[in-house]
Order: sequence, then structure tokens, then C-alpha cells
Amino acid sequence: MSHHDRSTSRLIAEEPAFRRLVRAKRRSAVPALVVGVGFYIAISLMAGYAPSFMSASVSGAVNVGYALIFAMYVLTWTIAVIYVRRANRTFDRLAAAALAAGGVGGDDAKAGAVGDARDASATAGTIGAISEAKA
Amino acid sequence: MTLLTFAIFLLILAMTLAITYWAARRTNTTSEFYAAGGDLSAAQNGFALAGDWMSAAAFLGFTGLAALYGMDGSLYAVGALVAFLPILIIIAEPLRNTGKYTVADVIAYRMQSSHARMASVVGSIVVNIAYLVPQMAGAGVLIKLLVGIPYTVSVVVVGALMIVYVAFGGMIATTWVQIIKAVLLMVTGAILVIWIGALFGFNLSELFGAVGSQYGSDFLSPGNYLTHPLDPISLALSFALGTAGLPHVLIRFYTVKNAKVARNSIIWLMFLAGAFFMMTTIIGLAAAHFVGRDAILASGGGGNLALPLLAEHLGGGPGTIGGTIFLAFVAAIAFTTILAVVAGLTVATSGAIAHDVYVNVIKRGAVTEKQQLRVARWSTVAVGATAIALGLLAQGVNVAVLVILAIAVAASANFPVIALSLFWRRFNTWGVVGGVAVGLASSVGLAAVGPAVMGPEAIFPLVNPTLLSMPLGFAGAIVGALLRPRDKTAEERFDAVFFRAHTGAESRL
Repeated sequence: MSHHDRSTSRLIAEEPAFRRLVRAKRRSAVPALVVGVGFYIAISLMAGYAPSFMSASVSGAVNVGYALIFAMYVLTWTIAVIYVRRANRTFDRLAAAALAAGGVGGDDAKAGAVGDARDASATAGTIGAISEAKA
Repeated sequence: MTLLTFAIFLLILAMTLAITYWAARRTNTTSEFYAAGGDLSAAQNGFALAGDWMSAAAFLGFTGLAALYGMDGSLYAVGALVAFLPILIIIAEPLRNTGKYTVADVIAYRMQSSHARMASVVGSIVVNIAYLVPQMAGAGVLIKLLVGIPYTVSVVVVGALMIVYVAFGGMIATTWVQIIKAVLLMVTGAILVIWIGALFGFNLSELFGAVGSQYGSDFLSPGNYLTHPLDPISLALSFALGTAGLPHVLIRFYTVKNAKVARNSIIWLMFLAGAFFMMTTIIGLAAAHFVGRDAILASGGGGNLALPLLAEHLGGGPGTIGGTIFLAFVAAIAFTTILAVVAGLTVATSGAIAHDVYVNVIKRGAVTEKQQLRVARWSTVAVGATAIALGLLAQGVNVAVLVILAIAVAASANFPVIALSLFWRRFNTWGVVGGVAVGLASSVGLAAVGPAVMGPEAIFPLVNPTLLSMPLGFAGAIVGALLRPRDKTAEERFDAVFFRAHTGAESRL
């Protein structure tokens, strides 16, 4: 890799449009994973260490453990739907903007046009506005 | 074996072979062979993913566990759904954007190193074989119990069919066999659940009440199967993160056009398979109530016959026409289920051998498309023959440990390396080798000295070693990476990889 290529990929990763995409993804991904996987880990720990709590009745023979397991299904579906809706509305638009700003094509993000990043992000802004108008 | 069972089996065989014939004519490139041309819709890939993921272990195993051990079986089943949250959120889209046909593609693209590719191939092949052998052995045991065909014949027939599907029809045939299987399985589950519901006035607590008064409330409490207090959490971790290291699941994301279709296909999978996993709890409890735990245990197969026996009971009982029809139908579905899963595993394994080892490492990419396709087909034959041989050797061996091992190795050797390759700038080839080596050694080693192999004299107390082996896998990967000095060029390459992983810049290698 030549020196020029290296600074190129660095520049692309620091491109504001791309940083916006990464931030948006992180804002959605971290809470979704913490809540979803966290709830599952909590149920599993309680099954191991609080069996009498898990066996307590909720309604008739249905106990806390089964209620939490059924709640886990609903929670998983809810998180997934919220995440995917947000991704379909936001991430793809931000990714298109980042691509336009990077002027990327081909394998190694060989954006010869990084020098024109400023011009490109103007284009990206337009693309963003168009897809926003569509949504 | 009754004439009816034979007829249903033949019908399913004819259908899958017709699909294979149709698919074979459309399989002329490596992209079609490994990735079904990369142009499936979200619904198609979602159904195929569901068919890939709902193995006999889910269909028969989860219902059996729920019937024999109560809550622990349900805890098991829900994990198979939760597993797709990490895949949806952190793995599927970057994988889709940076890989081509195999999991090792992603690692090799990031590291530009055939050592890294080979380390990843080792992880993939160990997981696939550990997953494939119990499916083959399960087919042998189940078909023998259900319809009386000898173990050896079943294993050879399953192996031969999977070779035919994949060698001729590649991923296209595999996809459609998986789609059909998913539909059949969902319909069977729904019929059973509606039937059970009708018997209990569509009131779930009536079912729980009936089971509770029959077996006592202890049956509905945790700890009947997962006896060590740390067993549930170790299982949870292996499911939640190990699934994201299963090559036969991950390669399905190469069959769609872009990240958006990949994520939408996961939603299909989560509602299809999730609904099915939820149904296994209801079916299992109903089997405990109607068939009885003693009868399920006495039938052999370690609880795996709970669902078939329930179907027979609902149809009118053993010896009746209704009971026989139901049992024959369920047996045929179990058979299709196994075929769909082993076909997916075969595509993933022959990809690792033909695409990764032969084309990219040995030949360094200097192979024509036509030769690549030929090597892929012959690898399929070799993988199938190996699976048949191992399946025959596994007769009478307790293969449950292999299922645990497959998911534990996936969580400990594959997942850390995939996740760090996609997200850690400082990661490098040494880290890949270290992660795979330590993850593999610790998961296999701890399972070998655990209760699944050594019984009560076990040195390591947990059946599933993931709680310890996954952190060890991560440690191996991180320490391995830190042993090398920082490499500015490689780290800057990460920026390009990361950009492409999240934008899909010129997807496809």
C-alpha cells in the first residue's frame, strides 16, 4: 500500500457522514443487546440461583419462571422489530450518505476523490434529503 | 413399516429430488453453488434460515426436554431465539458486506493472510463436523425407532441424499429443501398446538394446572435437567453467542443482495422459528400429560419421541388408523428436518474445503470458475462420505455431547475471532490463530473432563463449558494480538474494512 492509500482509508473512516452512521448504529445496538441478552442472562442466573422465586405461582400452576420465559419471547421480538425498523429507516440512508461522501468504489475503498470530500458531502446531503422526503 | 409411512417418505423424496433436478440446471457458477446466486428475497431467506436452524434437536429435543424436565426444556428453547439478537445486531450485516461464500472470507479479507484464513477454516470444520455427526446418528436412531429401518441404512440414505442435493443443486437446492421443511414443520407444530389448545379450552393455565397436579409443582421448577446452578448461564452464553459462530447459519446471509435484505430475513426467521420454539413448550407439556413421562422414557431415544408419541396419541392411539397416520407424518417430517439441516452443513463444509483451502490457500485464487465448481462438487462428495463414516461409527455412542461441543466450540473459537475481526482495530493474524487455538482447546478439553463424558466423576462440573471456554477464547485472541507490535498499515486497513462492513461499499469481494 502506498502512503496515499493509507491516509485515504483513514480519511474515509473519519468522514463525518460515516461517523454519523457509526454513532447511530451504536446508539441502537448497545441498548438492544444489553436489554435483550441481559434479560436472558438474568433469567438463566435466577434459574440457577433463585429456583424458589422462579417456582412461585403467578396464576395457578403458571410460575414466575415460565412467565419470564414467555416474556422473553415477546421482548426478543419487540427489540428485533424496533431495531430493524430503525435500521431500514435510518442506517441505509446514512450509509448511502457515507458512500457518497467517501466517493467510494471498488475493493479497497480506493477513493481517489477524497480530496473532493467536501463537494461529495454536499451531494450526500442531497441524497439524504431525497430519501428523507420519500420516508 | 406400514405402506402409508413408506408412501409419505417416497412423496417427500420425490419432491426434494425434483427440486434438486430443477436447481442443478440453475447451478452453473460458484456464486450459484455457494450462495444461490445471492439474490434471494428476505422471505425466502427467512424461511430457509428457519429450516436451517430448527434442527431435529429443536423439533424432537426441545419437546422431549420440556416433557421430561419441565422448565429447563423451555429455558433451552427460548435461547435458540435470543441467539439471533446478536446475529441481527452485530454480525449479519458486516459479514454480508465483507465476505463472499464462507466465514473465513471475512477473516481473510480483514487480515489479508492465509494463516488467518486457515485458522478460521479449522474452527469452521470442527464445528460443522461436531454438528453433522449427531444429526446423522440422530437420523439413524429416530428412523429406526419410528419406522423400523435399520440404523446403518438410515445413515447411508441420509448421507447419500445430502450428497445428491448439494453436489448437484448446491445452495439453491439446499435453500428450497429448507423452505419446504420449515413450512411442513410450522404446519405440524400449529396443528398440534391448536389441537392441544382445543382440549384445554385454549387456556394455557389449564394445561399447566393439569401437568402440575399430575407431577407436582417441582416438575415445573428449574433444575430438573440443568442441575448445577451455573449450568443455565453457561448454556445461555453458548446459545446467545455461539449461534453467531455457526458457519452453516452465517453463510445463509451470503444468499441475499445486501445488508437490508439480510436483516429483514432475520425478522422472518425470528417470528417463524420463535413461534415454533414457543410451541415446543406447549407440545412438551401436553406430551407429559397425555403420553406420560414414564411412557416417553420407556420409548427410548432419551425423550426425543415425546412429540411423535403425542401425535400418535392425539390421532387415536397406537394401532388406530388416525394414530398411524399421524405417526407416519411426523416421522417423515423428522426425516425432512434432518435432511435440510445436513444439506446446509454440507454446503458450509465443502465451502471451507473447496473455496477456502483449495482455491484461496493452495491455488492462491488461480483457478477457473469451472474448476472451482468441480472442486466444490467433489468436496461435497468427500464431506458426505466422511459424515456417513462418522455417523456409522457413532452408533451406540452418546452423541449428545457432540451437540454441546458444536455450540461451545462455535462460541469459544469462532465467535470471538469473528467479532474481534469486525470490530477491533488492533486485532491481527496472531490474534486469530490464538483465539481459535485457545477457544478450541479449552472447549474440547473442558467438555472432555465434564459430566457429559465422565459422568459423576467429572473434573469440571458444567455440562456446557462455554462459561469458562468463551472467556478463554477471547483471552487467547486478545493476548495473541498483543504479542505482536502494532502494525500501522494493518490498522489502517481496518478502517477500510470497517467502512465497507457498515456501508456495503461495492459489496462482494
